[in-house]
Amino acid sequence: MEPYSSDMKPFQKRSRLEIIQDILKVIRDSNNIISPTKLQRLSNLSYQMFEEYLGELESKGMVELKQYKGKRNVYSLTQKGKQFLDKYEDFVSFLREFGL
Amino acid sequence: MTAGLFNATLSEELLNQVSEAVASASISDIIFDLFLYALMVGLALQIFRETSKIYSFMEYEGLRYFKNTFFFYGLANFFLLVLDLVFLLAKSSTRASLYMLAISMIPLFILAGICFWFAKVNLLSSISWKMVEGTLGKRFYKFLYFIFLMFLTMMDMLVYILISIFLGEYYAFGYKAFIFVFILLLIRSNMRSCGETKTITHPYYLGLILLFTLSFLGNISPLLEGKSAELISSAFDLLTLIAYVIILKGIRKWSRILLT
Repeated sequence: MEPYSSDMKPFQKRSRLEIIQDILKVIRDSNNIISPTKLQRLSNLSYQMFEEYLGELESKGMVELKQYKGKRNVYSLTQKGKQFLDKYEDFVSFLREFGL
Repeated sequence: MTAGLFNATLSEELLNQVSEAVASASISDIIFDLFLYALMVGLALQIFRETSKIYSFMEYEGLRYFKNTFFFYGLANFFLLVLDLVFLLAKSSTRASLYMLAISMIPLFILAGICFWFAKVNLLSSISWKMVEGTLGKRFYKFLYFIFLMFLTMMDMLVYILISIFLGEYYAFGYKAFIFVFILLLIRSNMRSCGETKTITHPYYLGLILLFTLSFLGNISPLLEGKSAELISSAFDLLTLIAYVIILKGIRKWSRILLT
């Protein structure tokens, strides 16, 4: 699996937007189905941060927690989450042009 | 009865002062300002509308402050527009129109001032957001940060007023220049915090910087007198208008790209 936010300098902290992008990328690259434990590990977040971000993404309707084969809980991207990921690079360019 | 007499004298005096102020302004100036404020209201609210569309899709906190900035600029200019309209009506010099101006002038000025204050706080929040977003996790801390910026902007205004009263306009302008440099450093740190090391020369960014300069440096026309003061004041309004147009152009371009 490719490293996420690979264009960053060493020791540079990820911004909130970059973390969100990383989480969504991990889900997308795992065929849109991933367990919470694996998602937390691959997105390089502490348990507390992971809970906070996933809670936010769920409330914004970008990811959803659903049952896989009636047993395990898995996360998958919603249509809004997919659109966000598609437009992320453009959005970053937009913010950069305005210095925001 | 004494109170009634006092009120009558006061209102008579107030009416005289208002009619003097109305007489000193020419109709062409009032109409020019009316046109300018109407344009600013339209542009600011258009920026707000377009930014709201992008925000509803990306939900980035820094962008929320950016859109609120233009909502408050629009509202502030709307109050100034209403004040200008009342001023124009008062040109007819009827007792009712002069009364209306006397009653509405101070509340409208206060409302416009509050909206400009909120606009400045939101503008500061939007440009410093990237720098602080990592440290302000909880909603409560975000709220505290906003309150801190409100306090800072309020103090800035108070210090400016006190310096201009006790030390004069030139010192007050020096103070504004100092604050402006401080804000430029803040913008720089904000850019550095996201790994941006090159200078941004993009017109939309420069448009935002221009708006910043005009908002925080203030109008320097009180330093001058006569025709040059009027000229500076008009140039100030014109530059604000240019900044709005540049920003609106950028927002429209990006809303087309992001929302299709």
